[in-house]
Amino acid sequence: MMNRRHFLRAAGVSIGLPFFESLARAASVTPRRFAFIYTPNGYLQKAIMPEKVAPGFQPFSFTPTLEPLARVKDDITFVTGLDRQFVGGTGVHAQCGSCWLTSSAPQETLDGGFPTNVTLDQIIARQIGADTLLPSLELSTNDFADNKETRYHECVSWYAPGYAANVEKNPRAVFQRLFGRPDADATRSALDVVMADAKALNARLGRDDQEKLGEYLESVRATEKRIDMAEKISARMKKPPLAEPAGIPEARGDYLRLQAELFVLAFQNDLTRVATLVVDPERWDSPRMFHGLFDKPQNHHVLTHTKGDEAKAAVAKIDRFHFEFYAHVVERLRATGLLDTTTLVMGSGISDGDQHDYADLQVLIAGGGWKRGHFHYDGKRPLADLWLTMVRHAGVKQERFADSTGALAALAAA
Amino acid sequence: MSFSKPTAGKSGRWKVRIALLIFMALAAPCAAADFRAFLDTHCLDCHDADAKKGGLDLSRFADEAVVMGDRAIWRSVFEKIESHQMPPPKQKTQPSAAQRSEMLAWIMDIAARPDPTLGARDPGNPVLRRLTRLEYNNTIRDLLGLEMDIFMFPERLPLSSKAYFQPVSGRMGDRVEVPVREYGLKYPVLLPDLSLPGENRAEHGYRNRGEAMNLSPMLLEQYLAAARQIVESPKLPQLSTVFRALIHDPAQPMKAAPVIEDGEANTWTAAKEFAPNLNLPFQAKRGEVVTLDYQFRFAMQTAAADGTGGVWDAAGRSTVMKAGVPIRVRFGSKSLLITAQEDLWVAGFSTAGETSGESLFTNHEKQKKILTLDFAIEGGANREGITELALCALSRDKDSGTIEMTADFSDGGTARLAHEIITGGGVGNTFFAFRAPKGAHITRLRLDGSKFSGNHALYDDLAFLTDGATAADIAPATEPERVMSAREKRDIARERLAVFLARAFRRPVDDKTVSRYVEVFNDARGRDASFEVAMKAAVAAALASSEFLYIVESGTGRGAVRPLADHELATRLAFFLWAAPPDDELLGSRLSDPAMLEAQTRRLLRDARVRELGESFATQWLRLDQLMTAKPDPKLFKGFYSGPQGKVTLHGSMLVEALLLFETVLVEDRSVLDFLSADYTWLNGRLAKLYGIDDAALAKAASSNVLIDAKQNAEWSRVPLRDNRRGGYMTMAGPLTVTSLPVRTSPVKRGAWLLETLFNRPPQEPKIAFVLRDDPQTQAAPRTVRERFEAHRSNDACYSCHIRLDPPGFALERFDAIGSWREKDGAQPVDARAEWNGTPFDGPAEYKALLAQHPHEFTRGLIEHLLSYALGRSLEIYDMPMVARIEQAAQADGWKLSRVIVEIVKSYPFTHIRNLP
Repeated sequence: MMNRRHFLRAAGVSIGLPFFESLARAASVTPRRFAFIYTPNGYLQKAIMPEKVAPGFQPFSFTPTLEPLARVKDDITFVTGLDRQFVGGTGVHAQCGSCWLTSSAPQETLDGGFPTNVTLDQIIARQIGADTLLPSLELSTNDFADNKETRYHECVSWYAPGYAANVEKNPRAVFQRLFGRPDADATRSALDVVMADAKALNARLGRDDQEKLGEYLESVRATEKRIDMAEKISARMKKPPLAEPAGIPEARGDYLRLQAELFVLAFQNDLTRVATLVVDPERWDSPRMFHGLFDKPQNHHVLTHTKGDEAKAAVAKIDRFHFEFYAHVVERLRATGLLDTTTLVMGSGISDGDQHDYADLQVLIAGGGWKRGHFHYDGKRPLADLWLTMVRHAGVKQERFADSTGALAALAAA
Repeated sequence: MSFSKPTAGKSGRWKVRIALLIFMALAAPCAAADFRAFLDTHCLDCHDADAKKGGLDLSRFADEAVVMGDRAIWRSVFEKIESHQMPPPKQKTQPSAAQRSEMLAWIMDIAARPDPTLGARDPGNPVLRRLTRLEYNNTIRDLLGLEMDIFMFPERLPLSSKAYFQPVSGRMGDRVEVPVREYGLKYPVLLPDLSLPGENRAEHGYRNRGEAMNLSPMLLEQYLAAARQIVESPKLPQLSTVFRALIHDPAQPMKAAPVIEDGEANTWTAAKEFAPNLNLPFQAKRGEVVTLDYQFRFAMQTAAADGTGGVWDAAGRSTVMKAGVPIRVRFGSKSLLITAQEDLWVAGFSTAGETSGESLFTNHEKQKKILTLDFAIEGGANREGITELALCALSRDKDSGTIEMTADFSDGGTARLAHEIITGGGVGNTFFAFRAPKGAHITRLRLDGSKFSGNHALYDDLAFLTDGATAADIAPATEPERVMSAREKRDIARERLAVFLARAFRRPVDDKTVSRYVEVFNDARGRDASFEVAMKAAVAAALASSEFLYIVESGTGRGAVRPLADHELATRLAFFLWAAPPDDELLGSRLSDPAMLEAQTRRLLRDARVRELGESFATQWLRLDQLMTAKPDPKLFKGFYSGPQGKVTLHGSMLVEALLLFETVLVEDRSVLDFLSADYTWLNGRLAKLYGIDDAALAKAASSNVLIDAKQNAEWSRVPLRDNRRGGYMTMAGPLTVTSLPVRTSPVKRGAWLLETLFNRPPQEPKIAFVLRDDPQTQAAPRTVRERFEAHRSNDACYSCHIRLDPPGFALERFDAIGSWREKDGAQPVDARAEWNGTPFDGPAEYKALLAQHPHEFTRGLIEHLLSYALGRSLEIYDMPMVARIEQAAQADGWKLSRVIVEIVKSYPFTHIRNLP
């Protein structure tokens, strides 16, 4: 288990580094970047998986769901057949996203009944995010305003057991955080006093409350660091690479692409190297518009549990829409010259949404360092093996990840 | 209200349970040896160290000492035994009623004992929590003495006025007016562009739980930015005397807020309200010139307050405005001069539906449907002008045609918009909007109605925004500046900050803390900031401090448990009842005196802020916060939609009905049993129609004119109910809709809602991920929803939960997916028969009557929900005796809601806290 107090502390170490030094370092070693895109409620298996699949490597078959990937086929790896374990006692959907990237093994439930823990993206961020404006970026395109579900349905990025990273849903706020110019003096002055307040408060609290206040203290430190960075960056970046978004775009596709564009531009300007994007939360029973796909709002989760071909076709359509989006992001990374140094992952925490099947998951990987094609793993092989492979790919020396049994050597490009 | 008398016979088991549970504390617990005997006989076959079914091993509890060392699990043991889920109903050996109640009494006794490690009764340990978004808004609002919200957030219910809610009167009356705005529509707040992320609810709980709330750098930065935006709002000094007094430079005279006087013949006072959206179905939109948006509309609404705009609503008189004579529209201390080149006629037209008020403006001379208006600002700053402008063109019965508008800009450019206005008073009203290019102003507007049929082209609501400085800023100082040293000023800053911080942090603050904020002030002064700017910096920092953002209950007393300090109790109490900070009276009260605590609680219940108990607690409790995202299928449920393009929905009406019941019980201090079953409900015309209830006063609903319709449906009547079909929450349209899918009902969702909401006994989550895999597939597809669920239920793995889930779900099958009564589901008759605790019933009325005969499950559930909300934590085994005690006291006082609340406030867990560490 990662100590909560260590969150961001590692990143904070570099505060003292003169900026030119970290720039120089960035110039000598091309930074790697990682982005994880999460889609909820699984995929319609019939439409995504080829009729026949053999263990090991095979060429890509462009099933109806995968078909949009044809245009980026030379850049992607499709991994299937890896498994997760469901832990009884909490909702079948609640663990889908919140534990997708977790570093806790399924039985290690440090957060009530949940095996939430520091997630893969955050471990990587600690390794490679120290020199950037933001160690990591946590985005979401869930614009439902009613917050009807718990954070377990909403967050895939966690700092520690029970400590979810807040997700940013508004592209405008993301823009301001990346490219805004803070009033550094005033902010520092405010940060000094709130830090002193929080330390004084901390001394009056019991242990449990201190742990909670730790979130605040750590956030103040991270913000101090960001202010310093932002000041230096604004000296070299005269103009933001895109106009400030007005808010959340109306059309679903525009919204997704804008949030992705923001992390692509953040990568390009080396403002962050790690991003997560929750396309939609798990089991959020509110119908939403998929503009251009259907003429009325659709309830993705309910559709996955609805019998009949019509519902299945609708689910496949939504899946395909998300794969279109993925292909678009791959193309953007290619166009910006980032693709070779980026690992772009997309997947869902379950495979078959109707059955809540935690086994036989689908994962897409794009970017440099991975073999191309479709890799299928038969029998029981934990998804954590892929995450272990990935965390090592990021340069983290780690023997195990959650319930991993060993890295997936076959996936690494020669 | 009246309930049928309980029938004798069948309720034997019930009687035992009711007597047992209410007077649990008094019941004699079984001896220590007996609990082992009970476990041996009934539990250990499945729950020993080997079988460990459901992960539960009860064999390790050798004696009471072991039980006391690990009590938590016994709460669910209690619940399982009590609800007859355990031992499994299909098992042959069942405990006798007496054995069962003795076992339960023993667990309750265990629950009531002091905690062995604390050496005292456990008051619980709510995790340090920050303010929720709603509380953050309310706290800043009250701190600065504002009447309006700070920013918009979706938890705020879309009521445009809560004037009807007068808790001090103790009466709701029989008719109230509750205007509802479209959900998502902007409304006046201090900072329309500010937003903060909301909280997710806790599992089976509320948004105010510390353990379910996180704070990460992103959120902290948002708090910092929000605080800065708040103090820098140009409107804030005008709206808040507190803030003005806090920041104003002591060497300068105080500026008074501008006074607006009503003028003479050609002078209007700018309206603050723009045309309601409902009566503006169309927008002329083209290119970048046009920005009709809620943002624009909203900016108009609020600009009046800070003297940067307003609305000329040609209302209230019938008059002719002579060509060339300026029309003066006063906004703040300035005026907009509108000079028309033709005579204008301000009048009411019965063939039109005005966007607001009862009159409009048009060409005075028949057929001369081209008008030219020139604009200028009087009394403003140099070169102040109109930057944005909007005007509504009105449709008319029998007439139609294109209206064209052209705006001239000061930089020589123009913009033109045209729109075809369809026939029918009010139905084709169209909003035209223009924005000047950056740096330019709108100087002239040409209205061309020559292609519109009839003698007149009609317009209403001319709205404008200027780039002028605020009225207060340009008001000349009348007093000379005083000479004051920097030190004197700093001392004044310190005095003011000391007072402000104590209120902001809701506790006494020490000198050290004050000094830190004086340092922020000094820092800013050191950067050449004015006194005002430096004070703003200090205030902004305080609004991002952990002392402000978190509700702090830090240990100061001795022993393992301590009573809360008065100021801590004041804070708990105020956030419980008001979702807002304590006022000065509460902060200054000696709440450690129980009589004072009760008196203050009752005072808070009579304050208008107590509406948050309905808005925040009740909507979350009933899950009505999810109602607005319910989207019944428009083809199947036509009754849900009305108005142009079906834009007017029943969401708001359903919400208001539910809210009014809660508020009636709250204001009139009625029995909480009204929530379960009441002989009245509140209806407007639309809901009366949905319910099939004839009521003369409500009969005129659903006018084809959306404006009239909205007005009529804002009128609510308290309607007596003839039978038990309706009345109480479970048979209300809102909950019935929230628990349905867009195309059909869901008995499981309704059952789960009822168990979780009314009884606080949510069905457990399925232990396996693959719940549906073994679902038996019958050859012939079952036809009704109910038949489909019967099939699922016959599965053994599903049975134990579904015996609890299904009966309420089946009873409510009498209501369709939007809560309308039905006899048939598709072609099949509805079968709403089932059994509850061994007693058969048919339909919702009988089911409700059954519950009302023995309301304990409900009253306990409600008390648990309220207590959990009040404490900001989940309830534990040691709370069970407290809940029983509150329940007993409430029953003795006729189940009055105020009694429930007072008892919660006076309870041990509310008034005490675990000490360090």
